[in-house]
Amino acid sequence: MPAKEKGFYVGISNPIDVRRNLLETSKDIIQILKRYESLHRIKEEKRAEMNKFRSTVSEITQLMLRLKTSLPPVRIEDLPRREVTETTRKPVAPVSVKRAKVSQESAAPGSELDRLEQELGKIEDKLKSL
Amino acid sequence: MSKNMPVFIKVERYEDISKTITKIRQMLKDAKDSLDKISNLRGQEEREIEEWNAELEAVEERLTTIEETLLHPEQI
Repeated sequence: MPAKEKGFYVGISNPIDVRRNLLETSKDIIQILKRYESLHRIKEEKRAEMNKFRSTVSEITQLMLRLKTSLPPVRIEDLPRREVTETTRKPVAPVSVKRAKVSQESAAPGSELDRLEQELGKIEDKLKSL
Repeated sequence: MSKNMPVFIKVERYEDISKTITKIRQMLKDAKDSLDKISNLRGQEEREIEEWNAELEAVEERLTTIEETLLHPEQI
């Protein structure tokens, strides 16, 4: 049988304060647990909203595609062009080529991100050719 | 260098296109609303974490007082 620890007496000058402190600590701990539940609820709500956002964006993509297919297919190269003289030429801001390069590098299919990068690259190529 | 000229295109399903654009506009509004909600929730989340931190600090402080009272009474 293990040796019993000897009792040690400590004088507490303000026992009511100690008691109050202990009770308030317990209250705070419960408050912390309550806050955990609240935080959990917020996270769930945020996740649901993110999913909703994602599905909305995906629906927008579908609608944009539908809009694109509703318009007649015209090749940009076939459009009539007007010659512009040097004096009317305006400086053109550099187009971000970096993204297009990234899309070519990460051409491995499968990942949704890669697919989106490829799509962005195609759109940027079209924009550049305008 | 060449510049594009105006072209006229034949739009066969005008009504459809108009409807699609209206729907896209509505969906964009929905997406904006969702983003607002997400941003709001993120703010709430940050506030909750700050409160959490403050409460933990308060507990730590109280525990220090209790510890001093019980274990180092001579310091009080």
